[in-house]
Amino acid sequence: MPEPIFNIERVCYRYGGKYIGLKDITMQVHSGESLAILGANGSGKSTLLKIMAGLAFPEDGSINALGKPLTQDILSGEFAGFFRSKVGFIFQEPDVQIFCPTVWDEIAFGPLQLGIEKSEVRQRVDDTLDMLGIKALKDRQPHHLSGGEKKKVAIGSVLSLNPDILLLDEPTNGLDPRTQVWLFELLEGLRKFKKTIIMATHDLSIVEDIADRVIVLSENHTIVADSKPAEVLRDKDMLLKVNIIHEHTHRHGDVVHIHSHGPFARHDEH
Amino acid sequence: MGLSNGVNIPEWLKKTGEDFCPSCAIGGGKGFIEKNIEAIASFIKDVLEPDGFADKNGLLQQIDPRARLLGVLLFMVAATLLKNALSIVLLLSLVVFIALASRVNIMVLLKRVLPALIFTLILILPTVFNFVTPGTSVVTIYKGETFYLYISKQGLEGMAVFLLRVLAMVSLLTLFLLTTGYPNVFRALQSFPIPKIFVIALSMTFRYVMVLIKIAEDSHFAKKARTIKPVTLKQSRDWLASRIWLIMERSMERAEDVYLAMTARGFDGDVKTMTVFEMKGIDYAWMGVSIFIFLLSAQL
Repeated sequence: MPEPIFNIERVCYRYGGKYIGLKDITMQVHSGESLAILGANGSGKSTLLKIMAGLAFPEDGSINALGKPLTQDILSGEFAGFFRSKVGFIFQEPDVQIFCPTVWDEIAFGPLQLGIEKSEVRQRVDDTLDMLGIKALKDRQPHHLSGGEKKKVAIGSVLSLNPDILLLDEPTNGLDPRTQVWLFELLEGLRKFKKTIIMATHDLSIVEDIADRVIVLSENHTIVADSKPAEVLRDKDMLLKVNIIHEHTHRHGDVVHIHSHGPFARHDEH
Repeated sequence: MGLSNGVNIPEWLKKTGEDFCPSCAIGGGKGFIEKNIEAIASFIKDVLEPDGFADKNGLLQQIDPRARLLGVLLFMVAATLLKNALSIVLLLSLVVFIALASRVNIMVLLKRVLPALIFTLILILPTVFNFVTPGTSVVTIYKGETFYLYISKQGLEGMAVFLLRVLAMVSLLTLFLLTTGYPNVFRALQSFPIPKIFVIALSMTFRYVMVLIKIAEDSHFAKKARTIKPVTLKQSRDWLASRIWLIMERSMERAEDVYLAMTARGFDGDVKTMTVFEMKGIDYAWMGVSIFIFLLSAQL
């Protein structure tokens, strides 16, 4: 078995040193995996992603990323450049991610920092704009775009770095159905080229399409399942318990029945 | 260009690199701007989210917030009226007693008071010298034919009294904030003859400053996640300026939205709340003690 790109051992995290965010998290991620971290709101999904991105650091336990212990110190030296170019983080809120005067500048920001030739940067930006279907927006100010357009710019600003590992926090949040489908297709495409995709979500409908492994976080901030999507989605008791799906009573003509469903209803009990 | 499910993935994006970097060096530290963003965020969070003393069953917590606020204000006025160090020390002892009776950790109180004390000390330091407060020399710094510089006894006494006064006043205010919790602070303020719009504006500021801090922190993280090589100070400054602008823009948008949401739910400038404060025996006793201390300090 090759060395994992992320090795997380008994990680605990508290918000502001007070409220528990993650409790005793142990997991590994291998290169090329497509992993979904499922959990209800407040279960610690985003925090786990931030720890993997070296943006937050555990109170207890350890995390090794790309063969090195991920600490604040290590992320200030030469390894930081390597790590940041390998690991792309797409935030849930695109507004916090975009800070350049135009869409074009935003997408060029990362490659320019990598020290890539200017002609190559131009090519990358044009390709990215083309891939995202936002060429017409290239001279616009990112803050004046719609929510979906901002999300595309945020994704483009990370993809232009060509990261091998993509961390996505609630990627479908605030996207209209058409943009969601576009995102699935993009992630599916990247997966084919051995990119590692790790996303935090509570959206069950995307799990089977995108992930080949699912980790479920409970509301107690611990891992309660780590398995293949089909197996996790079959375990309705567990999904109910962690509050990802809920029981729902409704009527079909004269018949009233109870069944469970989550967002994007899985009505397989009819 | 390749075609994958309708999304054109460029050739360069299909390439992957080495997973590990054994030769990468480790080292360095946080930059000036990063340290400051973290420190400011942590400080504001610390101030706005007191450590749960408001929920404890202590002396101040049992007193009606209005009486609590009025009493603390009277104590603070008393601290300004007291002229000698000993009487202020006695008042301080009373503050410590109230803090202990209210189950407030003295170290936490001290930690919050200390910055104000240090700041005051720096500001009033020149007053110990004879060119501001002449008097009896305690320490001679320079004695020439035309110029004489020394630390005066009167200057030192004046500084000590002033520092003790600041310590008492800041401790009282901090004690009130620690034991009250922000919702009740604003409710108590509404009972005073202060224009309601000021209290509402203050309360909204406190509520949304946390949201804005979150935006600032996340923006910093987002930049950090895309920072591959160290940036120059100028680049950092430019980024900081753009973030300040973003936060200002976001806060203005948010203010507009919040106001519209309030208007949509019937807000007409006058906030009506369910909270009914009731004065009890302990509240009157507290008020009595506060008024007594206030009157006593005026006589001393």
